[in-house]
This record gives sequence, structure tokens and C-alpha cells, in this order.
Amino acid sequence: MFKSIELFQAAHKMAQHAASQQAVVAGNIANADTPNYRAMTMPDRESTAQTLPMARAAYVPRPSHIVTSGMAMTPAPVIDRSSEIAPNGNSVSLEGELLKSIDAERQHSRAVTVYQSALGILRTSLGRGR
Amino acid sequence: MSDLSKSLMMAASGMQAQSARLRLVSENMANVDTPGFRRKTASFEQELMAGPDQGMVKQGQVKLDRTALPKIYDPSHPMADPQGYYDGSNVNIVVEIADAREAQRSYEANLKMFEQTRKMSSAVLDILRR
Repeated sequence: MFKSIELFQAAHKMAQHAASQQAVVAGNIANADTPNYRAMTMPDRESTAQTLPMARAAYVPRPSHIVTSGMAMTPAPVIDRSSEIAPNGNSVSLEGELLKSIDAERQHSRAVTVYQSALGILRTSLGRGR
Repeated sequence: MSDLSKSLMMAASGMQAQSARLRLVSENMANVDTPGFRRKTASFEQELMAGPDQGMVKQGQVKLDRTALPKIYDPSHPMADPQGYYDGSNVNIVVEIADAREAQRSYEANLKMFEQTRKMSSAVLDILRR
């Protein structure tokens, strides 16, 4: 129907990824002092960060297909093996987690901005302007 | 539950756990001169809830420090034994201050996460506002 729906999809997936990353980071920070807790991270950041080609690949004319593939896209968090483990078995690095959360926040605001401007384009096409 | 409200809840659970820890620290500090007082400690553990792992943190069971109580020589003390010694408390004030400082830093990190997540969700709500 609308060509720009694809843009909405891309923005939606990007915001979704940023929100799940933020949830994972919040869990890590909450458990920064829990013994034997391993830091988690969202996998596949590179491929999901560039959502536009992926959304295009998932775009098939059958509407039911789009919905199911959109739902199945959310990956589960995995254990972050890059950080070293403290003597109490905890592998959370507070600085690294705060950096990751800022990254997620920026990604999210980028997605929201894209969504908003796509919305503006739709409004303009309806003759209402911004 | 959406990712953003999940991260708000996790940051809140982290703050709750850290303030419970700070409470134990202040109990220990208040009783640093109480004869026979044993230092209270508690370690953090993940909160287990029905369904998938939420990753929330809570304070575990409070335990008493089993370190031997120091013998203090003061024959005029009402609790002194025939040799003139009484049991002091095994609280080390330097350890408690370091613990309090660590709890404060972790609390700040959780608060930062809370603020950032709130910023993200208010950005989403701003789309609806126009």
C-alpha cells in the first residue's frame, strides 16, 4: 500500500533491538554485585543494526508473512564472553555496561527520529503538513 | 511485558537491593562498639519468578560473620570476665565504609539506567503527542 511502510518497519526493528539491549544492560547493572552472575548481551548487533536491508529482505507481498517474520526476529540474549570474571564469579563491567546503554539510547533515538520523519512524510502526503 | 518497562523494573530491583545492603552496612557501623556484636552480611542473588528468567536481583539471607570476636582488656567493664577481658564486635569500620561506597556507586549506576530508560520511553510517547 504505502512504499514508506518499509521505513516504518526498519525503524520499528531498530527501536526494538535498542530496547531489548537496554533491558539486558539494566539486568546486568542490577546484578553487578551478584556472585556467579555472567554478563549477558544481545547477539548479532551488526546485522540487526543495519535493519534496512533486512527489512527489505523480509518484505514479501503476503501480509501474514510479514507479521510472523517480524515477530520471530527478536533474538534472545546470550552470555557475553568478552569480559573477564571477578573472583566472586561475576563478569559485569559497570563502565562497559554504561557505554552499551548509551549506545542503545542513541540507537533508539535514531530509530524514533526516523519513524517521526516518516510520519511527517505521510502527513504531508495527506495535505496536512507538519 | 515490554523491554522498556522490564528494564525499569530491573533498575528498580537493583536500587532496592543496594539500599538494603546500605542498611546492613549502617546497622554494622552503628554497632561497631557493641560488645558481642557480629557483623551482618548478605550476598545478592537472582530473583526466581515463574516463567522465563527475569534477571531481577534481590538480597539473599542475612548471615552473621563467623570471625572470632576480639578480646578487649577493660577490667572496669560490666561484662568483663575474671581476667578483665570482654568480647568486642568484629565489625571493621574501614571494610564497612568501602562496602558503603561500593553500594552507593552501584545505586548510582542503576539510577542512571532508570533515567535513560525513561528518556527512551518518553521519546516513544512523543510520537503520539503531535
